[in-house]
Amino acid sequence: MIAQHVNKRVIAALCVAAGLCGCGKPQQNPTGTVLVSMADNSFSPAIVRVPVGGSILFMNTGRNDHNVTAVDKSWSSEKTFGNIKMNPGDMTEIVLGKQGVYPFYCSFHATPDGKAGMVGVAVVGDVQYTPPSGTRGILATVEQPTGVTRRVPQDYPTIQNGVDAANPGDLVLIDKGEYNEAVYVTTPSVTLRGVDRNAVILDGKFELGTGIMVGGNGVVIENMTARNYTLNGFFWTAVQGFRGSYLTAYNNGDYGIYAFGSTDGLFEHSLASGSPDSAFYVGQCAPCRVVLNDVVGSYSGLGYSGTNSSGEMYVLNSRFVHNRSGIATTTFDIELEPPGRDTTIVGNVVSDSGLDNEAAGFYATETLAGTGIAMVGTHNNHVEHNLVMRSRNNGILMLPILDRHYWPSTGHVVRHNTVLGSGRADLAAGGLGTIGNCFSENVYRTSLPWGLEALNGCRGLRVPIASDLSTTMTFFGAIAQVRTGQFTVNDYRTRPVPAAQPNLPGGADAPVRPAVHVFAGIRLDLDSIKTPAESTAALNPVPAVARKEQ
Amino acid sequence: MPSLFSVSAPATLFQIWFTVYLYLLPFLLYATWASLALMDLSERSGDPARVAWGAFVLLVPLLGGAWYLLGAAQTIKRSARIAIVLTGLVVWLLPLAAGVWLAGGPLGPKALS
Repeated sequence: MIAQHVNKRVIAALCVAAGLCGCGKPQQNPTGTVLVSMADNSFSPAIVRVPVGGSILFMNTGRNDHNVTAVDKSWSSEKTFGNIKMNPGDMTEIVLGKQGVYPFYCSFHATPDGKAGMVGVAVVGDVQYTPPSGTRGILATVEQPTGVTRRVPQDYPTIQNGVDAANPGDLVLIDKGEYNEAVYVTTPSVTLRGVDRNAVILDGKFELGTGIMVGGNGVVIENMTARNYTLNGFFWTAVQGFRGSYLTAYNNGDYGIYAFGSTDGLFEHSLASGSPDSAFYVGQCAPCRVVLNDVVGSYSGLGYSGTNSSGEMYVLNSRFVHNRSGIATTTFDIELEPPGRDTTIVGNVVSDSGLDNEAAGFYATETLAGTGIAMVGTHNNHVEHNLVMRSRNNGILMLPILDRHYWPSTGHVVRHNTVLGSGRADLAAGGLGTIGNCFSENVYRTSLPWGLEALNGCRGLRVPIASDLSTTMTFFGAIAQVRTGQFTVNDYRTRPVPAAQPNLPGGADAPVRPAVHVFAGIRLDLDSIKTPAESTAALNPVPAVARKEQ
Repeated sequence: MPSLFSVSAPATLFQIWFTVYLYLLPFLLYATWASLALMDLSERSGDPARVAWGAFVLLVPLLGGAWYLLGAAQTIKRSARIAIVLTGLVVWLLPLAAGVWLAGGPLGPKALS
């Protein structure tokens, strides 16, 4: 294999360089081989030109598994590499012997028509190719529903059939039943709705990848369940305008409910559970203009995770319980738009993080296991009025991260939170450059370094001693554990099955609202959000009746 | 009280190594070297530089004590002073280098099953 003869670091550097130089125009190499980096989740460069008989060297420079397949199925990494999954660092060379234009995609992170998600185009030989301008596809979003309802299975035997027949603004109404499908949606402004959240079930049988993958703008999914997929339950990729309401996703192999490279969206009244990575994930967006409101994330590596979710990202009024870590905002150079910043986390309950060892997980979640709210290499988050209880290690934690760049954790505002029962420290900050954060009016018992709030208030005194070496060392220790394989994770396929969840009010007859101008339509009244009422009980564990008797 | 000296759970060998050994050992070295240096200085009554050396030893952690012991101490045998400083450095820096090597590389692929 080529991989055995090429220095991977050199290749990676070339790939990055190729990506930087190749933005916006086809990357061409008349002598034969072009490097294409498979990042998380995009090809770089996305458009490549090679001569007939030339080749493309694909290398996975991301942290996720990827692959590449021509839309016409004439070639794929599965054929040349020998496995459908290319792990980080893997590479494969694909020789293109026929002149033509070959759209390609990653089957894990794009629709198989090559129109949405992690897609690219190979132009082989001396053929004309003009990249499509503007937004993908030819269909535009619509703000008003058409009033057309396409019923599954009454009118269409499968959900995919119903989706394929739908026009923008249509409703695809799915009746009770179990559907063993992986559905792709590229038509904009379609609403997919189940008649009963707990009885309309997409089941991947641990064989199919993603329950519903959306690559069209303005698509709404509501009132159904996706379970047992090897990747994700519900996934929006590279879209503008999205909404997921009254959804349940459990025991899926990567993420539960997931938006990547997508803006202007809302996840609400939904539950995701039993994912090795995150129950809810919003990544690579700037500004995101995304709101999570009244969701539950449980038994996962992370309850909510946002990598490079950069600007106007809100996590509100939600519960993240029994995860390895509750909430994590992170920065990685491997995704676009670093650093992660300006996430507002208000009014959430985060409890039992890393405590009962029932959650799924994978190596990266183990480096933060036992943390309630972690801010790793991110900037300017607002963490207010949350109740963070029973974290095995740290309640609210700030750490820097060293990726291609060094990203300190800085500029965060931590106020009015109740943080109790942490195994190590309720408030903790570690690492170089963890400065410029402020803490005020939190209810807590322990902090590392000592006096973190007293010396770094949001008003008045602020000293540059705002970080603790022992916290840094525990993080290094956790990384060493992971690197040497000294950890175990639970199988996502056997995590607890959630109880029945509330249905969409109005059910099948609820109004159809395409996801257009979603963020602008949300009334954000952060000042009205108080610390969850459970904090009162948490602060006063003696039952009221018992106190009267004393 | 914050559990300043506690390790993260689970308390594996790596947590003990990093949090207890690599984190706490520098404090012990500081205390040991500074104590020996001050003990030596206490024997140098009448030396006008004594106060300055004392401040240097206390205010420049690790380096102050090591510098004094290696270069200026008078009442402790030279071979003993070298052994004290070098042994301290070796027992700290070697595990630290191993720790950086262990914790400083990539974590590996995200293997989905």
